[in-house]
Amino acid sequence: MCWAAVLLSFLLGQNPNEMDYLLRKIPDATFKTSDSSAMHISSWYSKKPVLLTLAYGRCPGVCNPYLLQIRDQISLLGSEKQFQVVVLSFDAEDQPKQLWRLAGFNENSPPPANWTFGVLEEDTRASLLTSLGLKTQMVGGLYEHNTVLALIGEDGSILQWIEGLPGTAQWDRLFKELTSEFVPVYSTLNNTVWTSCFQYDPASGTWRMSWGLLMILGPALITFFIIIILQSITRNDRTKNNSSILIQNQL
Amino acid sequence: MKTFDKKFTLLWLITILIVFLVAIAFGITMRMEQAEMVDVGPLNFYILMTSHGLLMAGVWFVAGMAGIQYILSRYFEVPRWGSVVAYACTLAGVVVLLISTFLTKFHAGWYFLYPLPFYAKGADSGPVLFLIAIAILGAGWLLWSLVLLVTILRKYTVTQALAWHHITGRPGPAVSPFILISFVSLIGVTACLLAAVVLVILYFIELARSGTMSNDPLLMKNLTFFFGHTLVNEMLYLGLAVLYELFPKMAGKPAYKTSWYVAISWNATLLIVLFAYFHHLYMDFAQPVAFQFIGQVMSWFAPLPAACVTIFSVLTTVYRSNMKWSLASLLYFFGVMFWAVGGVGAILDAVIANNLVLHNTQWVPAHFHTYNLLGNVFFSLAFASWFADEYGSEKMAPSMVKVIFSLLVIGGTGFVIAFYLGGALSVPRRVDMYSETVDEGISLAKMAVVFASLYLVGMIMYTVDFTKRCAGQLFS
Amino acid sequence: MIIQKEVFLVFSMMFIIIVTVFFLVFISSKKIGEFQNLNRKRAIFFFIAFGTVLLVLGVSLPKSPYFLYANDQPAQKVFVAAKQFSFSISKYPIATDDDFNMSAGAEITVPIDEIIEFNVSSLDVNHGFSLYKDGVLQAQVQAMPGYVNRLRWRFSESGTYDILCLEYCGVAHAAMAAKLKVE
Repeated sequence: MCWAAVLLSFLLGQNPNEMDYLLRKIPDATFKTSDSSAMHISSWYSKKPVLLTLAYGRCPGVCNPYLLQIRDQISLLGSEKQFQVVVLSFDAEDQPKQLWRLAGFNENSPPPANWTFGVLEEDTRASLLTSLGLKTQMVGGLYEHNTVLALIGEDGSILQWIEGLPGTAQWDRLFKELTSEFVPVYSTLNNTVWTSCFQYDPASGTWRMSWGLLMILGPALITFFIIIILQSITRNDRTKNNSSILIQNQL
Repeated sequence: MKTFDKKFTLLWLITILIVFLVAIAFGITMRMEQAEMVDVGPLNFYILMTSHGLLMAGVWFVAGMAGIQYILSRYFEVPRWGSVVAYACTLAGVVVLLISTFLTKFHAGWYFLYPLPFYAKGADSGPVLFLIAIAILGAGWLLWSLVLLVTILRKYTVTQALAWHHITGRPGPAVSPFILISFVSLIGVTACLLAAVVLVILYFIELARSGTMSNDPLLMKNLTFFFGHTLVNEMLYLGLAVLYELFPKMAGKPAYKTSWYVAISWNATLLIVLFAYFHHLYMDFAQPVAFQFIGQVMSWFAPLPAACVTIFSVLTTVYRSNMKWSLASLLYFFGVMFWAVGGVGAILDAVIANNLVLHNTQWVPAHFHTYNLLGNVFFSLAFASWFADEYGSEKMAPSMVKVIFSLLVIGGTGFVIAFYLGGALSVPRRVDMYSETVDEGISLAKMAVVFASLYLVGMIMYTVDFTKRCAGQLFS
Repeated sequence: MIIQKEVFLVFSMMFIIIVTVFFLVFISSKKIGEFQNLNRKRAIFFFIAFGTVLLVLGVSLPKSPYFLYANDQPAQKVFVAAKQFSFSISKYPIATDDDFNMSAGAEITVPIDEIIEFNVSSLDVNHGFSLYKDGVLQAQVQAMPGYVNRLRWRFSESGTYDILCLEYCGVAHAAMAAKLKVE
């Protein structure tokens, strides 16, 4: 099931839901770190942007390849000090160190300083999951869940939100945001808007033409057809008048 | 000459002149408020602004249409009901508009940029009434332009009316520039009025389904300026069509012929005009850059065919023509001059890099007042003067010509220069008062009041003279 | 020289040229004669105009504000939200009315000679976000509901900048203003 969800979101390539989460604040949840101390997420995001994702240690499916992929992509980026990767477990039975394994770290090669692993505390777990749009369901002692990668800004608001494995274009935009490269504009249209002429594509950070554009082209197209129709209904008048037209023009 | 066409044109012209005087008075009141000479308050200021904008756009649009209708009726049998229905719709639309602004206090501006009508609505019925006014005007004018299109199409096929045979050299009936330009403009008018229809429908759907459906502000802005910009642009071309017909005769020269380059120019204009409106959205970075670039390229190419051909033709017509100047020919000739001047102001603003500091400053009203107040209005006044000279009881006295023409030119020039200076000094447009940051606006507004009053005096004299000479015809 | 003055200068020059040409032709209308080499002069006139248009487009399009400092790294992000009839400016995103009220009226300071990225949006109708220094408009961008427009700008002068609303937004539009400190 996990894989099916990931595959589906990968094939779709973009997240039409991103606008529902963009700029919303996440609750300042607490989590237990590997040295057993309690920590607020804000202690990271107040210092630098946070790439936040959720997983759980016993996951038989998506969590391991998902985190490996994130690790691969981030290693390509290079500028590691500019942000913090925070991986939190929503499974109370987890130990933070168990999570290392998911991203391919172990005691011999521990995660670097810009990676943080932790287990969410009971009290704020549900609200954090809701705010990030992470859906979990217990099936036979294991969780079925979707995967979410969110970029959290300095004040705890979601600057980017990607469900499933990010595509190349989504990574591109994420890195642009992390390194403050220029994305000229983005949309925060709410869902009562029934159509627009350009669809903002969160994956590439660009605009695509949408069928609402027809509303602008429409008047010109209709005019074209009206002229053609008028031409055909006036055909008889024209043949009648053609003989006298040259004389009339001299008037 | 058919009496009905003459009388009805006269009715149009007198109505237009009266509404124009009222709309000028609105405008002067706005400038007086800005100059702190009167105190009407911000709400009344924006009510006046909304009324002034739509009245002016409407009145000079119908003036252009009335001119086209009249010249067409000299050639062909033009159905009367188009003009009659449009007249009724215009009157009804203006009445509903004035009710919506002055009684229900609707004040969202004539271009009613979404979603402002839901905020600056005055009473709850304000936006409904205003949109009804737009719908009445739009429907009447759309019908009228279709009737005129049919009139042309009863004589020519589409390709003939577009003078394609003048480009290819194939045989076909001679198409005068008047027919070509009218046809091109009427197509543009139809397209932009259809955009208004779409816009109004979208508004009504949102009004009907309050809260559960909303429109995309960027889409609505595109539609708004497709309608608004194109309408104002095309109404200038309507005036030009009549100029092509009348001006050479005033200069005692043979009528203009549709040559291959005139045909190409106006066919190009037909397309270019539809894309130029993008320049209204330069400062909306959400609009894809490709559209912004199309906007600047089209805005810069727009004057090449239409303006360059017309300016060159008019200059060579007058050059050593030994012509006798009348008010009509003076207004045509200098109308073209001011059109060129306003055009320069417009294309400077149409550079995206300049627009960054000119958008929504007084540079915008500066250039469009130049080619409306001193260009398009001059074209229509020229038509009216020609009409009065032709059918009125007597010709206009030469001293009267001098006084009226000087008042209009001096008043108009001073008035727009105040706007240009305002633009250069970063004074914003559409404000009822100037904050300390831009307090140069106050003295410029005073200057504008003085010059606009001269223009108003000129217009009153023109209207009185016109009515005196022609009113008898209306009831004869 | 500031852009407005340059534009005004070019405009004034063109104004004088156009008026002179029309006036000379007007005066010539008292004489009798013919315009010589009509076709050739028309062609020259057209090609000069065509060349000018191409030149201006080639020079001015790359200067469009959409690419301003696009390859640089901004030192600071500033979030701006407009709502009838005030601005709210913050270092944090402003997405809701609560966010708006929290930072409404607060004055913020941005560093001089650094690239600042303004993220501008609106919570109700269209507004305009403009930066004035000593009454001279420096830059602007529209604040449209549903969209966040990003304008990157580098302040070369310190002091207080006035922010005015430049899109008509209702009765108190003229009074809609805010301030920004640059140090």
